[in-house]
Amino acid sequence: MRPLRVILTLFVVLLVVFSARSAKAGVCWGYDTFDSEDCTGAHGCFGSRAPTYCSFGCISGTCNNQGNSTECCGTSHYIAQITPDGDSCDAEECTGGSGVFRTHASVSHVNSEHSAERRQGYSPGLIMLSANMSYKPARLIYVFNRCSHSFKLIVEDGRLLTTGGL
Amino acid sequence: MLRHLVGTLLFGFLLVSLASGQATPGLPQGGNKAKSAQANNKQENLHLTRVQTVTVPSVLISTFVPPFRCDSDGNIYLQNDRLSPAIQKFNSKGEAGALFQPAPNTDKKLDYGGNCAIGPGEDLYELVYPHEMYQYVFAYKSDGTFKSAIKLNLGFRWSAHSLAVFPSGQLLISGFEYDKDPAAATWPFTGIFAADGSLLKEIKLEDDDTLRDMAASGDSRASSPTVPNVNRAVSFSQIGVAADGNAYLMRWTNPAIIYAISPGGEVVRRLKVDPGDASYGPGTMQIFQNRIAVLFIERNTYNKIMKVVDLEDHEIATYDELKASGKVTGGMLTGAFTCYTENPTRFVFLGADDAQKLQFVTTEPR
Repeated sequence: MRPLRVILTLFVVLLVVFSARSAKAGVCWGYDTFDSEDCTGAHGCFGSRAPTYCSFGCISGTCNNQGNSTECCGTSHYIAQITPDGDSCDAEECTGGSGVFRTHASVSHVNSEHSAERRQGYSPGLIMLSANMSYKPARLIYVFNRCSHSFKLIVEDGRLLTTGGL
Repeated sequence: MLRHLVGTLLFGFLLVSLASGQATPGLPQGGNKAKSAQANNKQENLHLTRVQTVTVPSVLISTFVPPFRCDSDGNIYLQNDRLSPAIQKFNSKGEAGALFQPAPNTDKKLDYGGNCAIGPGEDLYELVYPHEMYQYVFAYKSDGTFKSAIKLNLGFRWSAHSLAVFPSGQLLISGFEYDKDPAAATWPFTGIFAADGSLLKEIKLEDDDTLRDMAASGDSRASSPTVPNVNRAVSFSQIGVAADGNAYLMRWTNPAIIYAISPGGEVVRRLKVDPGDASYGPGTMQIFQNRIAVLFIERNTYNKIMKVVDLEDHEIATYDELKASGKVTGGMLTGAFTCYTENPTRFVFLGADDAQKLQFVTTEPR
Protein backbone atom coordinates (compact mmCIF):
# COMPACT_ATOMS: atom_id res chain seq x y z
CA MET A 1 0.00 0.00 0.00
CA ARG A 2 2.90 2.31 0.81
CA PRO A 3 4.52 2.08 -2.68
CA LEU A 4 1.13 2.88 -4.15
CA ARG A 5 0.95 6.11 -2.14
CA VAL A 6 4.51 7.05 -3.11
CA ILE A 7 3.84 6.52 -6.81
CA LEU A 8 0.54 8.36 -6.62
CA THR A 9 2.17 11.26 -4.81
CA LEU A 10 4.97 11.41 -7.40
CA PHE A 11 2.37 11.31 -10.14
CA VAL A 12 0.44 14.24 -8.66
CA VAL A 13 3.66 16.23 -8.07
CA LEU A 14 4.72 15.69 -11.67
CA LEU A 15 1.29 16.80 -12.82
CA VAL A 16 1.49 19.99 -10.75
CA VAL A 17 4.97 20.79 -12.07
CA PHE A 18 3.93 20.09 -15.63
CA SER A 19 0.81 22.26 -15.27
CA ALA A 20 2.81 25.13 -13.77
CA ARG A 21 5.33 25.03 -16.60
CA SER A 22 2.59 25.01 -19.19
CA ALA A 23 0.91 28.02 -17.63
CA LYS A 24 4.14 29.97 -17.35
CA ALA A 25 5.11 29.31 -20.94
CA GLY A 26 1.82 30.83 -22.06
CA VAL A 27 2.32 34.26 -20.43
CA CYS A 28 4.00 36.20 -23.18
CA TRP A 29 2.94 39.77 -23.70
CA GLY A 30 3.13 42.55 -26.22
CA TYR A 31 1.45 45.90 -26.70
CA ASP A 32 -1.53 46.74 -28.85
CA THR A 33 -1.76 50.36 -29.87
CA PHE A 34 -5.01 51.57 -31.36
CA ASP A 35 -5.66 54.56 -33.55
CA SER A 36 -4.96 57.72 -31.64
CA GLU A 37 -7.76 59.63 -29.97
CA ASP A 38 -8.21 63.36 -29.67
CA CYS A 39 -8.10 64.94 -26.26
CA THR A 40 -9.01 68.45 -25.30
CA GLY A 41 -8.53 70.60 -22.26
CA ALA A 42 -8.45 74.05 -20.81
CA HIS A 43 -7.27 77.07 -22.78
CA GLY A 44 -8.09 75.43 -26.08
CA CYS A 45 -5.67 72.57 -25.62
CA PHE A 46 -6.08 70.02 -28.39
CA GLY A 47 -3.93 66.92 -28.59
CA SER A 48 -3.99 63.23 -29.32
CA ARG A 49 -2.93 60.10 -27.56
CA ALA A 50 -2.67 56.45 -28.53
CA PRO A 51 -4.44 54.00 -26.20
CA THR A 52 -2.14 51.09 -25.43
CA TYR A 53 -3.25 47.73 -24.08
CA CYS A 54 -1.69 44.46 -23.07
CA SER A 55 -1.80 42.00 -25.90
CA PHE A 56 -0.17 38.81 -27.04
CA GLY A 57 3.52 39.16 -27.74
CA CYS A 58 7.00 37.93 -27.11
CA ILE A 59 7.94 39.26 -23.68
CA SER A 60 7.55 36.80 -20.85
CA GLY A 61 6.31 38.30 -17.63
CA THR A 62 3.27 40.17 -16.42
CA CYS A 63 1.33 42.97 -18.03
CA ASN A 64 -0.88 45.55 -16.39
CA ASN A 65 -3.26 47.57 -18.56
CA GLN A 66 -2.93 50.40 -16.03
CA GLY A 67 0.73 49.93 -15.23
CA ASN A 68 1.84 53.21 -16.75
CA SER A 69 0.28 56.50 -17.68
CA THR A 70 0.53 59.30 -20.13
CA GLU A 71 -0.78 62.84 -20.03
CA CYS A 72 -2.71 64.69 -22.68
CA CYS A 73 -4.03 68.23 -22.20
CA GLY A 74 -3.52 67.95 -18.46
CA THR A 75 -5.41 64.69 -18.04
CA SER A 76 -3.70 61.44 -17.15
CA HIS A 77 -4.52 58.29 -19.05
CA TYR A 78 -3.50 54.78 -18.14
CA ILE A 79 -1.45 52.77 -20.60
CA ALA A 80 -0.18 49.22 -20.43
CA GLN A 81 3.15 48.24 -18.96
CA ILE A 82 4.94 44.90 -19.27
CA THR A 83 7.16 43.72 -16.45
CA PRO A 84 9.53 41.11 -17.92
CA ASP A 85 10.52 38.09 -15.85
CA GLY A 86 13.51 37.18 -17.99
CA ASP A 87 12.06 34.00 -19.45
CA SER A 88 11.88 33.49 -23.18
CA CYS A 89 8.84 32.97 -25.36
CA ASP A 90 9.19 29.97 -27.59
CA ALA A 91 6.64 30.76 -30.29
CA GLU A 92 8.19 30.75 -33.76
CA GLU A 93 7.26 34.37 -34.28
CA CYS A 94 9.16 35.33 -31.14
CA THR A 95 12.49 33.69 -31.80
CA GLY A 96 13.93 36.09 -34.33
CA GLY A 97 12.21 39.40 -33.68
CA SER A 98 12.76 42.43 -31.56
CA GLY A 99 10.69 41.10 -28.68
CA VAL A 100 7.73 43.42 -29.15
CA PHE A 101 5.32 43.44 -32.02
CA ARG A 102 2.23 45.44 -32.67
CA THR A 103 -0.78 43.97 -34.33
CA HIS A 104 -2.71 47.15 -34.87
CA ALA A 105 -0.40 50.11 -35.30
CA SER A 106 -1.91 53.57 -35.43
CA VAL A 107 -2.14 55.24 -38.80
CA SER A 108 -0.75 58.71 -38.66
CA HIS A 109 -2.30 60.19 -41.77
CA VAL A 110 -5.76 59.05 -40.68
CA ASN A 111 -5.25 60.66 -37.30
CA SER A 112 -4.16 63.92 -38.87
CA GLU A 113 -7.22 63.79 -41.05
CA HIS A 114 -9.45 63.30 -38.01
CA SER A 115 -7.83 66.18 -36.18
CA ALA A 116 -8.42 68.39 -39.18
CA GLU A 117 -12.04 67.25 -39.37
CA ARG A 118 -12.58 68.07 -35.74
CA ARG A 119 -11.27 71.55 -36.25
CA GLN A 120 -13.69 71.95 -39.12
CA GLY A 121 -16.61 71.42 -36.79
CA TYR A 122 -17.18 67.78 -36.05
CA SER A 123 -15.60 65.04 -34.02
CA PRO A 124 -15.27 61.60 -35.61
CA GLY A 125 -15.54 58.83 -33.05
CA LEU A 126 -17.29 60.94 -30.45
CA ILE A 127 -21.00 61.26 -29.70
CA MET A 128 -21.93 64.90 -29.25
CA LEU A 129 -23.96 65.53 -26.10
CA SER A 130 -23.83 69.32 -25.98
CA ALA A 131 -21.86 72.16 -27.49
CA ASN A 132 -18.99 71.48 -25.15
CA MET A 133 -19.40 67.87 -24.13
CA SER A 134 -18.92 64.64 -26.06
CA TYR A 135 -18.89 60.96 -25.26
CA LYS A 136 -16.33 58.45 -26.46
CA PRO A 137 -18.36 55.21 -26.59
CA ALA A 138 -17.24 52.07 -24.83
CA ARG A 139 -16.25 49.21 -27.09
CA LEU A 140 -15.69 45.49 -26.88
CA ILE A 141 -12.84 44.62 -29.20
CA TYR A 142 -11.83 41.14 -30.25
CA VAL A 143 -8.22 41.29 -31.38
CA PHE A 144 -6.67 38.71 -33.69
CA ASN A 145 -3.32 37.37 -32.55
CA ARG A 146 -1.16 36.08 -35.35
CA CYS A 147 1.30 34.58 -32.88
CA SER A 148 -1.04 32.11 -31.25
CA HIS A 149 -3.75 32.07 -33.91
CA SER A 150 -6.20 33.12 -31.28
CA PHE A 151 -8.14 36.13 -30.11
CA LYS A 152 -8.38 38.23 -27.01
CA LEU A 153 -11.09 40.49 -25.71
CA ILE A 154 -10.33 44.09 -24.87
CA VAL A 155 -12.85 46.15 -22.95
CA GLU A 156 -12.37 49.76 -23.95
CA ASP A 157 -14.27 51.97 -21.57
CA GLY A 158 -16.19 54.97 -22.74
CA ARG A 159 -15.65 58.41 -21.27
CA LEU A 160 -16.96 61.92 -21.31
CA LEU A 161 -14.88 64.66 -22.85
CA THR A 162 -15.55 68.28 -21.99
CA THR A 163 -14.13 71.30 -23.70
CA GLY A 164 -15.12 73.91 -21.17
CA GLY A 165 -18.07 74.79 -18.95
CA LEU A 166 -21.38 73.05 -19.42
CA MET B 1 4.86 -4.63 -9.64
CA LEU B 2 3.91 -3.83 -13.21
CA ARG B 3 0.26 -4.52 -12.40
CA HIS B 4 0.54 -2.17 -9.44
CA LEU B 5 2.07 0.54 -11.65
CA VAL B 6 -0.61 0.20 -14.34
CA GLY B 7 -3.30 0.21 -11.70
CA THR B 8 -1.82 3.31 -10.10
CA LEU B 9 -1.64 5.18 -13.40
CA LEU B 10 -5.26 4.33 -14.17
CA PHE B 11 -6.26 5.51 -10.71
CA GLY B 12 -4.20 8.66 -11.25
CA PHE B 13 -5.96 9.38 -14.52
CA LEU B 14 -9.27 8.87 -12.78
CA LEU B 15 -8.24 11.41 -10.14
CA VAL B 16 -7.12 13.85 -12.81
CA SER B 17 -10.40 13.44 -14.66
CA LEU B 18 -12.36 14.13 -11.51
CA ALA B 19 -10.10 17.07 -10.64
CA SER B 20 -10.61 18.54 -14.12
CA GLY B 21 -14.33 18.42 -13.64
CA GLN B 22 -14.10 20.21 -10.32
CA ALA B 23 -11.67 22.84 -11.54
CA THR B 24 -14.04 24.09 -14.21
CA PRO B 25 -17.43 24.30 -12.54
CA GLY B 26 -20.28 24.45 -14.97
CA LEU B 27 -18.22 23.33 -17.92
CA PRO B 28 -19.81 21.92 -20.06
CA GLN B 29 -23.05 21.05 -18.38
CA GLY B 30 -25.23 20.21 -21.30
CA GLY B 31 -28.36 21.73 -19.82
CA ASN B 32 -31.27 19.90 -18.26
CA LYS B 33 -32.12 17.93 -21.35
CA ALA B 34 -28.50 17.29 -22.21
CA LYS B 35 -27.83 16.21 -18.65
CA SER B 36 -30.54 13.61 -18.71
CA ALA B 37 -29.35 12.51 -22.13
CA GLN B 38 -25.88 12.07 -20.71
CA ALA B 39 -27.21 10.12 -17.77
CA ASN B 40 -29.20 7.82 -19.98
CA ASN B 41 -26.84 7.41 -22.87
CA LYS B 42 -23.50 8.26 -21.23
CA GLN B 43 -22.80 10.70 -24.05
CA GLU B 44 -19.71 12.83 -24.09
CA ASN B 45 -20.13 16.56 -23.53
CA LEU B 46 -20.83 18.48 -26.68
CA HIS B 47 -18.31 20.91 -28.11
CA LEU B 48 -18.50 23.65 -30.71
CA THR B 49 -16.85 21.97 -33.66
CA ARG B 50 -15.96 23.69 -36.91
CA VAL B 51 -17.93 22.25 -39.79
CA GLN B 52 -17.36 24.94 -42.41
CA THR B 53 -15.04 27.90 -42.96
CA VAL B 54 -15.75 30.46 -45.66
CA THR B 55 -12.93 32.88 -46.44
CA VAL B 56 -13.65 36.35 -47.77
CA PRO B 57 -10.39 37.31 -49.49
CA SER B 58 -11.46 40.88 -50.23
CA VAL B 59 -11.69 41.86 -46.55
CA LEU B 60 -8.58 42.06 -44.38
CA ILE B 61 -9.39 42.26 -40.70
CA SER B 62 -7.61 41.93 -37.35
CA THR B 63 -10.15 43.29 -34.90
CA PHE B 64 -13.86 42.67 -34.51
CA VAL B 65 -16.15 45.12 -32.82
CA PRO B 66 -19.86 44.45 -32.17
CA PRO B 67 -22.59 44.62 -33.34
CA PHE B 68 -22.54 41.17 -34.91
CA ARG B 69 -25.72 40.65 -36.89
CA CYS B 70 -27.20 38.17 -39.33
CA ASP B 71 -30.65 37.86 -40.85
CA SER B 72 -33.03 34.94 -41.31
CA ASP B 73 -31.43 34.07 -44.66
CA GLY B 74 -28.02 33.72 -43.02
CA ASN B 75 -26.65 36.95 -44.47
CA ILE B 76 -23.99 38.52 -42.26
CA TYR B 77 -23.67 42.26 -41.67
CA LEU B 78 -20.21 43.69 -41.07
CA GLN B 79 -19.58 47.13 -39.66
CA ASN B 80 -15.96 47.43 -38.75
CA ASP B 81 -15.26 51.13 -38.87
CA ARG B 82 -17.38 53.31 -36.63
CA LEU B 83 -15.84 56.47 -38.07
CA SER B 84 -17.03 55.58 -41.55
CA PRO B 85 -20.21 53.84 -40.47
CA ALA B 86 -21.11 51.85 -43.56
CA ILE B 87 -22.39 48.30 -43.15
CA GLN B 88 -21.65 45.60 -45.72
CA LYS B 89 -23.90 42.61 -46.18
CA PHE B 90 -22.38 39.25 -47.15
CA ASN B 91 -24.21 36.05 -48.04
CA SER B 92 -23.19 32.81 -46.39
CA LYS B 93 -20.78 32.11 -49.25
CA GLY B 94 -18.86 35.27 -48.40
CA GLU B 95 -20.07 37.20 -51.43
CA ALA B 96 -20.56 40.91 -50.81
CA GLY B 97 -24.10 42.16 -51.22
CA ALA B 98 -25.87 45.37 -50.29
CA LEU B 99 -23.97 48.29 -48.79
CA PHE B 100 -25.75 50.44 -46.22
CA GLN B 101 -24.23 53.92 -46.09
CA PRO B 102 -25.53 56.81 -44.04
CA ALA B 103 -23.12 59.46 -45.36
CA PRO B 104 -24.44 59.74 -48.94
CA ASN B 105 -27.98 60.02 -47.58
CA THR B 106 -27.59 63.05 -45.37
CA ASP B 107 -26.01 66.45 -45.54
CA LYS B 108 -25.04 66.17 -41.88
CA LYS B 109 -21.48 65.56 -40.79
CA LEU B 110 -21.39 62.16 -39.10
CA ASP B 111 -19.38 61.57 -35.96
CA TYR B 112 -20.12 57.92 -35.31
CA GLY B 113 -22.06 54.83 -36.37
CA GLY B 114 -23.52 52.70 -33.61
CA ASN B 115 -25.51 49.55 -33.09
CA CYS B 116 -27.65 48.13 -35.87
CA ALA B 117 -30.61 45.76 -36.04
CA ILE B 118 -32.52 43.78 -38.62
CA GLY B 119 -36.17 44.76 -38.76
CA PRO B 120 -39.30 43.58 -40.58
CA GLY B 121 -38.67 42.59 -44.18
CA GLU B 122 -34.93 42.31 -43.43
CA ASP B 123 -34.69 46.09 -43.45
CA LEU B 124 -31.64 47.41 -41.63
CA TYR B 125 -31.72 50.02 -38.88
CA GLU B 126 -28.57 51.76 -37.68
CA LEU B 127 -27.88 54.19 -34.86
CA VAL B 128 -26.18 57.22 -36.40
CA TYR B 129 -24.65 60.15 -34.55
CA PRO B 130 -24.28 63.36 -36.54
CA HIS B 131 -22.44 66.31 -35.07
CA GLU B 132 -25.47 67.64 -33.28
CA MET B 133 -27.29 66.99 -30.03
CA TYR B 134 -29.85 64.65 -31.58
CA GLN B 135 -29.22 61.03 -32.39
CA TYR B 136 -30.82 59.22 -35.28
CA VAL B 137 -31.79 55.80 -36.53
CA PHE B 138 -31.19 55.44 -40.25
CA ALA B 139 -33.47 52.89 -41.92
CA TYR B 140 -32.60 51.08 -45.15
CA LYS B 141 -34.35 48.54 -47.31
CA SER B 142 -32.71 45.13 -47.53
CA ASP B 143 -31.04 46.08 -50.82
CA GLY B 144 -29.28 49.04 -49.19
CA THR B 145 -31.68 51.68 -50.45
CA PHE B 146 -32.07 54.47 -47.92
CA LYS B 147 -35.57 54.72 -46.40
CA SER B 148 -35.53 57.38 -43.70
CA ALA B 149 -33.62 59.17 -40.97
CA ILE B 150 -35.52 58.81 -37.70
CA LYS B 151 -34.69 61.59 -35.26
CA LEU B 152 -34.75 60.43 -31.63
CA ASN B 153 -36.30 63.42 -30.03
CA LEU B 154 -35.58 63.49 -26.32
CA GLY B 155 -35.33 66.61 -24.24
CA PHE B 156 -32.37 65.58 -22.15
CA ARG B 157 -28.76 64.63 -22.61
CA TRP B 158 -28.45 60.96 -23.41
CA SER B 159 -26.78 58.49 -25.72
CA ALA B 160 -28.33 55.48 -27.40
CA HIS B 161 -26.33 52.25 -27.39
CA SER B 162 -28.41 49.25 -28.35
CA LEU B 163 -31.32 48.87 -30.66
CA ALA B 164 -34.01 46.43 -31.79
CA VAL B 165 -37.00 46.75 -34.07
CA PHE B 166 -40.40 45.22 -33.30
CA PRO B 167 -42.47 43.71 -36.14
CA SER B 168 -44.66 46.82 -35.89
CA GLY B 169 -41.69 49.03 -36.74
CA GLN B 170 -41.47 50.49 -33.24
CA LEU B 171 -37.99 50.70 -31.79
CA LEU B 172 -36.62 49.55 -28.46
CA ILE B 173 -33.50 51.49 -27.54
CA SER B 174 -31.27 51.21 -24.49
CA GLY B 175 -28.66 53.73 -23.48
CA PHE B 176 -27.63 56.28 -20.86
CA GLU B 177 -29.07 59.43 -19.48
CA TYR B 178 -26.33 61.72 -18.23
CA ASP B 179 -26.38 63.28 -14.81
CA LYS B 180 -26.15 67.04 -14.41
CA ASP B 181 -22.79 66.36 -12.83
CA PRO B 182 -20.59 64.98 -15.62
CA ALA B 183 -18.50 63.13 -13.06
CA ALA B 184 -21.51 61.28 -11.62
CA ALA B 185 -22.60 57.84 -12.74
CA THR B 186 -24.92 57.77 -15.72
CA TRP B 187 -28.53 56.57 -15.51
CA PRO B 188 -29.71 53.58 -17.53
CA PHE B 189 -32.38 54.59 -20.03
CA THR B 190 -34.66 52.28 -21.99
CA GLY B 191 -37.48 53.44 -24.21
CA ILE B 192 -39.97 52.41 -26.85
CA PHE B 193 -39.94 54.81 -29.79
CA ALA B 194 -42.49 55.19 -32.55
CA ALA B 195 -41.38 54.76 -36.14
CA ASP B 196 -41.15 58.57 -36.34
CA GLY B 197 -38.70 58.70 -33.42
CA SER B 198 -41.03 60.06 -30.76
CA LEU B 199 -40.74 58.45 -27.34
CA LEU B 200 -43.81 56.34 -26.61
CA LYS B 201 -42.81 54.94 -23.26
CA GLU B 202 -39.83 54.98 -20.95
CA ILE B 203 -39.21 51.61 -19.31
CA LYS B 204 -37.82 51.21 -15.85
CA LEU B 205 -36.05 47.87 -15.57
CA GLU B 206 -35.77 45.97 -12.32
CA ASP B 207 -32.00 46.17 -12.05
CA ASP B 208 -31.48 49.73 -13.32
CA ASP B 209 -30.93 51.23 -9.89
CA THR B 210 -28.69 48.39 -8.80
CA LEU B 211 -26.53 48.68 -11.91
CA ARG B 212 -26.33 52.43 -11.49
CA ASP B 213 -25.36 52.07 -7.82
CA MET B 214 -22.73 49.50 -8.74
CA ALA B 215 -21.16 51.88 -11.25
CA ALA B 216 -21.38 54.78 -8.80
CA SER B 217 -19.55 52.77 -6.16
CA GLY B 218 -16.84 51.70 -8.60
CA ASP B 219 -17.90 48.07 -8.62
CA SER B 220 -15.71 46.49 -11.29
CA ARG B 221 -18.60 44.33 -12.48
CA ALA B 222 -20.32 47.45 -13.80
CA SER B 223 -17.70 50.14 -14.24
CA SER B 224 -14.09 50.83 -14.87
CA PRO B 225 -11.93 52.14 -12.03
CA THR B 226 -10.69 54.84 -14.37
CA VAL B 227 -14.11 55.82 -15.73
CA PRO B 228 -16.62 55.24 -12.93
CA ASN B 229 -19.36 57.29 -14.54
CA VAL B 230 -19.71 54.97 -17.52
CA ASN B 231 -21.61 51.76 -16.95
CA ARG B 232 -20.26 48.72 -18.78
CA ALA B 233 -23.31 46.61 -17.94
CA VAL B 234 -25.46 49.11 -19.84
CA SER B 235 -22.95 50.15 -22.52
CA PHE B 236 -22.64 46.63 -23.83
CA SER B 237 -26.33 45.72 -23.60
CA GLN B 238 -27.70 43.80 -26.56
CA ILE B 239 -31.23 43.40 -27.85
CA GLY B 240 -32.89 40.94 -30.19
CA VAL B 241 -36.48 40.15 -31.12
CA ALA B 242 -37.80 36.59 -30.73
CA ALA B 243 -40.59 34.68 -32.42
CA ASP B 244 -43.05 35.66 -29.66
CA GLY B 245 -42.82 39.29 -30.83
CA ASN B 246 -41.07 40.44 -27.67
CA ALA B 247 -37.66 42.07 -27.54
CA TYR B 248 -35.03 40.52 -25.31
CA LEU B 249 -32.61 43.00 -23.76
CA MET B 250 -29.46 41.51 -22.22
CA ARG B 251 -27.37 43.44 -19.71
CA TRP B 252 -23.64 42.79 -19.78
CA THR B 253 -23.58 41.00 -16.45
CA ASN B 254 -22.77 37.59 -15.05
CA PRO B 255 -25.25 35.95 -14.79
CA ALA B 256 -26.55 37.67 -17.91
CA ILE B 257 -29.81 39.41 -17.04
CA ILE B 258 -32.27 39.39 -19.93
CA TYR B 259 -35.59 41.25 -19.93
CA ALA B 260 -38.42 40.19 -22.22
CA ILE B 261 -40.12 43.44 -23.24
CA SER B 262 -43.40 43.57 -25.15
CA PRO B 263 -44.01 46.06 -27.97
CA GLY B 264 -46.19 47.95 -25.49
CA GLY B 265 -43.26 48.36 -23.13
CA GLU B 266 -44.24 45.81 -20.50
CA VAL B 267 -41.50 43.69 -18.96
CA VAL B 268 -43.10 40.27 -19.28
CA ARG B 269 -40.18 38.21 -17.97
CA ARG B 270 -36.76 38.51 -16.44
CA LEU B 271 -34.30 35.76 -17.35
CA LYS B 272 -30.94 34.95 -15.83
CA VAL B 273 -28.48 32.99 -17.92
CA ASP B 274 -25.72 31.71 -15.69
CA PRO B 275 -22.46 30.36 -17.12
CA GLY B 276 -21.80 28.68 -13.79
CA ASP B 277 -18.45 30.39 -13.35
CA ALA B 278 -17.93 33.91 -12.04
CA SER B 279 -14.78 34.43 -14.11
CA TYR B 280 -16.75 34.45 -17.35
CA GLY B 281 -18.34 37.52 -18.86
CA PRO B 282 -21.06 37.68 -21.48
CA GLY B 283 -19.89 38.16 -25.02
CA THR B 284 -22.69 38.13 -27.53
CA MET B 285 -26.37 37.16 -27.50
CA GLN B 286 -28.14 35.86 -30.59
CA ILE B 287 -31.78 34.82 -30.90
CA PHE B 288 -33.33 32.27 -33.20
CA GLN B 289 -37.12 32.01 -33.06
CA ASN B 290 -37.78 30.84 -29.48
CA ARG B 291 -34.22 30.17 -28.46
CA ILE B 292 -31.59 32.49 -27.00
CA ALA B 293 -27.88 31.68 -27.25
CA VAL B 294 -25.42 33.58 -25.07
CA LEU B 295 -21.68 33.25 -25.53
CA PHE B 296 -19.66 33.72 -22.34
CA ILE B 297 -15.91 34.33 -22.41
CA GLU B 298 -13.33 33.84 -19.69
CA ARG B 299 -11.21 36.96 -19.56
CA ASN B 300 -7.81 35.40 -18.99
CA THR B 301 -7.95 32.12 -20.83
CA TYR B 302 -10.52 33.17 -23.49
CA ASN B 303 -12.27 29.89 -22.91
CA LYS B 304 -15.84 30.05 -24.09
CA ILE B 305 -19.17 28.66 -22.99
CA MET B 306 -22.25 28.80 -25.20
CA LYS B 307 -25.50 28.62 -23.24
CA VAL B 308 -28.82 28.10 -24.94
CA VAL B 309 -32.10 28.79 -23.16
CA ASP B 310 -35.70 29.05 -24.27
CA LEU B 311 -37.80 32.17 -23.86
CA GLU B 312 -39.07 30.91 -20.49
CA ASP B 313 -35.50 30.66 -19.17
CA HIS B 314 -35.34 26.88 -19.34
CA GLU B 315 -31.83 25.73 -20.03
CA ILE B 316 -31.57 23.82 -23.29
CA ALA B 317 -27.86 23.18 -23.65
CA THR B 318 -24.34 24.26 -22.77
CA TYR B 319 -21.42 23.85 -25.12
CA ASP B 320 -17.74 24.64 -24.96
CA GLU B 321 -14.89 24.62 -27.45
CA LEU B 322 -13.38 21.41 -28.72
CA LYS B 323 -10.17 20.76 -26.80
CA ALA B 324 -7.46 18.21 -26.44
CA SER B 325 -5.12 18.22 -23.44
CA GLY B 326 -6.64 21.50 -22.33
CA LYS B 327 -5.91 23.28 -25.59
CA VAL B 328 -8.40 24.33 -28.19
CA THR B 329 -8.12 22.22 -31.29
CA GLY B 330 -9.08 23.13 -34.81
CA GLY B 331 -8.49 26.84 -34.28
CA MET B 332 -9.79 28.95 -31.43
CA LEU B 333 -13.12 30.64 -32.01
CA THR B 334 -13.33 34.40 -31.75
CA GLY B 335 -15.81 36.15 -29.54
CA ALA B 336 -17.48 37.49 -32.66
CA PHE B 337 -20.52 35.24 -32.41
CA THR B 338 -22.67 36.42 -35.27
CA CYS B 339 -25.39 33.97 -36.16
CA TYR B 340 -27.42 31.24 -34.48
CA THR B 341 -29.83 28.81 -36.14
CA GLU B 342 -31.53 25.55 -35.21
CA ASN B 343 -32.37 22.39 -37.17
CA PRO B 344 -29.49 21.77 -37.27
CA THR B 345 -28.00 23.74 -34.36
CA ARG B 346 -25.35 26.04 -35.80
CA PHE B 347 -23.35 28.97 -34.51
CA VAL B 348 -21.44 31.21 -36.91
CA PHE B 349 -18.43 33.22 -35.77
CA LEU B 350 -16.39 35.86 -37.55
CA GLY B 351 -12.73 35.01 -37.77
CA ALA B 352 -9.60 35.55 -39.81
CA ASP B 353 -6.92 33.38 -41.34
CA ASP B 354 -3.18 33.88 -40.93
CA ALA B 355 -3.23 36.45 -43.71
CA GLN B 356 -5.98 38.29 -41.83
CA LYS B 357 -8.59 37.49 -44.44
CA LEU B 358 -12.11 37.58 -43.05
CA GLN B 359 -13.69 34.20 -42.37
CA PHE B 360 -17.15 32.96 -41.49
CA VAL B 361 -16.65 29.97 -39.23
CA THR B 362 -19.66 27.70 -38.83
CA THR B 363 -19.71 25.39 -35.82
CA GLU B 364 -22.01 22.65 -34.64
CA PRO B 365 -22.20 20.98 -31.25
CA ARG B 366 -20.70 17.50 -31.52
